[in-house]
Amino acid sequence: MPENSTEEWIEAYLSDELSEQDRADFGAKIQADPELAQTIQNTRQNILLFQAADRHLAKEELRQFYMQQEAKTIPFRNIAFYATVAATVLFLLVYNFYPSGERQSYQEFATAYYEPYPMTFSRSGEGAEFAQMATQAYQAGDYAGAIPLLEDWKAQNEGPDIPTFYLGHCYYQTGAFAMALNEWERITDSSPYFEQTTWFRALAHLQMEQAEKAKEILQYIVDTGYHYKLEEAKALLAAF
Amino acid sequence: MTDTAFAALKAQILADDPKGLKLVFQECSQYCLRTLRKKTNCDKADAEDVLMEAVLTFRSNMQRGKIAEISNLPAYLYGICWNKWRELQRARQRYQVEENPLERTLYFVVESENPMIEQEQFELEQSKIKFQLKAAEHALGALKEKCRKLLRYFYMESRPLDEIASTLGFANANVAKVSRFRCYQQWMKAIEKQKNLTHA
Repeated sequence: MPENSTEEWIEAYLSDELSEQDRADFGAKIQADPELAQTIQNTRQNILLFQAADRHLAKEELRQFYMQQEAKTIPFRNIAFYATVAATVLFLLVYNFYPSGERQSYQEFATAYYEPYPMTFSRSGEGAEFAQMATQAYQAGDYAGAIPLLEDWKAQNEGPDIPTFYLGHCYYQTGAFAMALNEWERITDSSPYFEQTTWFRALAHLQMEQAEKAKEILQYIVDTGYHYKLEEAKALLAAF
Repeated sequence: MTDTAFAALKAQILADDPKGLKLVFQECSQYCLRTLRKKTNCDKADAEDVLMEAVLTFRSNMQRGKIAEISNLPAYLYGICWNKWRELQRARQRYQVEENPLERTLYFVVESENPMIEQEQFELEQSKIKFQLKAAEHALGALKEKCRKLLRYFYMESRPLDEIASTLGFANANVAKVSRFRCYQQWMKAIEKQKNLTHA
């Protein structure tokens, strides 16, 4: 063993930096020396103390950063709040003076064009249990019951597009259109579900009376030439 | 998340550019907090604590190259939150976890992947360790930033010494090793000083 101080040996031992031979020699030394064994135990505790204290300080720094970010968004939230109030007032004015048939027609269109997306696959491996139960609930039309199962599945899954996609449908079916949109907007254009999701996002916007946004998405489907629901998108656009 | 967006986020986090964490919080915080509270019925303080733990782990994993791609950032971060929540629950069942944030962090470390101490040993010694925790935290304030980073990279993130040397600007791994030892000794002295101040 080289001539280092005991502290350096302990550090190297705990950090797993010793060669196999040195580790065995030092291990024998620890066995024979209770005082050394105690020192090693104290050093372990000290490292643990460092880890906890440093983690705590890092967490506090991060919390400060987070609070600053949140504080910066508050003025925007206020703007959003007042914008929402203004939009609501405007909506109520329009609602009272506009023929009611046209206002409701967007939702009626969405309802007429929506079809539950089939869920027919099976799955094994991680998350299989939640996947199976979620599929059964979804197929039985128990959309509210499927939501927590899909959330669990999503939480366990590295590539959560499938549960996210169906979670959107469950929210949609239970009338939580904003939640449905929230899920579907997580599905990126690299996902195999993106094309279908685009169509369903348009329907969710219609349900939420966001006709302009819905038209924009429908136009995108037509311009891109998607296969999924292309004719329906054209028909809807023509009807508006 | 597209490959381009992931590469940009990774570059920002590696460079300690606050834009990276800002994006993570913007994209994920409300989703993670809302879902965690809905699924676990936990209070706001617990949810925020878990979120901070998760973001630290995410940053560390990103910096150490443990994440190759992310398809959905909020879902990915929520996955870490969920594991952290379970760690906290395990600690609560196993030990008498105080609602003191510093001590809770200690339990997170003990329940982490590679704890420095075995659980049985920790159970035996937890009151002694908890007793020293505040002094240890204060003592960290006495260390220079470079020293603290050096100890963190080594003890928290298990980075190799040559990587630490190049990140922190040491001539080579040996210099980093000697510096690490000195920083550790400085920190121990600062703890002793804190203890004496407390007892005085």
